[in-house]
Amino acid sequence: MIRITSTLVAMAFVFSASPAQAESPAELNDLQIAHVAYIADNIDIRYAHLALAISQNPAIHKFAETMIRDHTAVNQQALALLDKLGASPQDNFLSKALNADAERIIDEMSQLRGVEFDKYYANNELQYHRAVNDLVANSFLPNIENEEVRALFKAGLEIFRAHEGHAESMVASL
Amino acid sequence: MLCVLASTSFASPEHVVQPAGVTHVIEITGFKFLPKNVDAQPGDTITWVNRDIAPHTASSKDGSWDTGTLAQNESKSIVVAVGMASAYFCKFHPGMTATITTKNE
Repeated sequence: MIRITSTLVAMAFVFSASPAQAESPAELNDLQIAHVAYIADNIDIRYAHLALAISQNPAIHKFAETMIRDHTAVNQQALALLDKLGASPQDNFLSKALNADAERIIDEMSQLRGVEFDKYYANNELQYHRAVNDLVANSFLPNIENEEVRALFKAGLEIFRAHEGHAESMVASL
Repeated sequence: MLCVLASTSFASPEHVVQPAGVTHVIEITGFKFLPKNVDAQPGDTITWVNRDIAPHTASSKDGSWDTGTLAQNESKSIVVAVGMASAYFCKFHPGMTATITTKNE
């Protein structure tokens, strides 16, 4: 059985169980949150490129192309906003953890082929989007101070909820 | 082929009926086509405007017409033809669906 875990899923459990953690997503400032979002987008883009390289399923390809298209568009908006604000995203513990987790998942996925790969990718996309959406809705949005950054995250959440629904359909079809 | 027409109007978000020769504007916002259902006549123009960050399309389910990719704030128009396929969706986000009902007069 393929074990799919992610830092986000683990953190959601840990932070809900023990709110006194020293490093909490809710304690990140706007620029750190922006960095997490940028990294999260780029991770999903990397997963999508891997899917395009390995999967032979047309539905997986269409989904992956949409992930690349949409996450790239969100990142472009985020960078444009930060440029307008004269700010740069700040690296932080959560961005580092996401990247480390992604490296492990990419390593696992890249060794799979055929239906096994497709199922792993689809399930990972569903769990990933669920976890990111939970993080954005419950940890980031309540704590973002800048109104324009908050508006961008609200728009981003809408997109990622649509992705979650699409991933759910994809998982069901495999 | 395209015909830019004089007036647009907006009724309930679910169902819009216009006199012949008008432009119906459909906003793509929040991953929805609004209005979701449009009544149109041959010669009318349907204009889709994408307000979302994510690119979308408006593409008939039978493949007979397609706006192509609409980036944010881009719009594309199609003139309603007799027998135009009614059900359409976004190719990138298949959960987004809507209809154009063509009255042949």
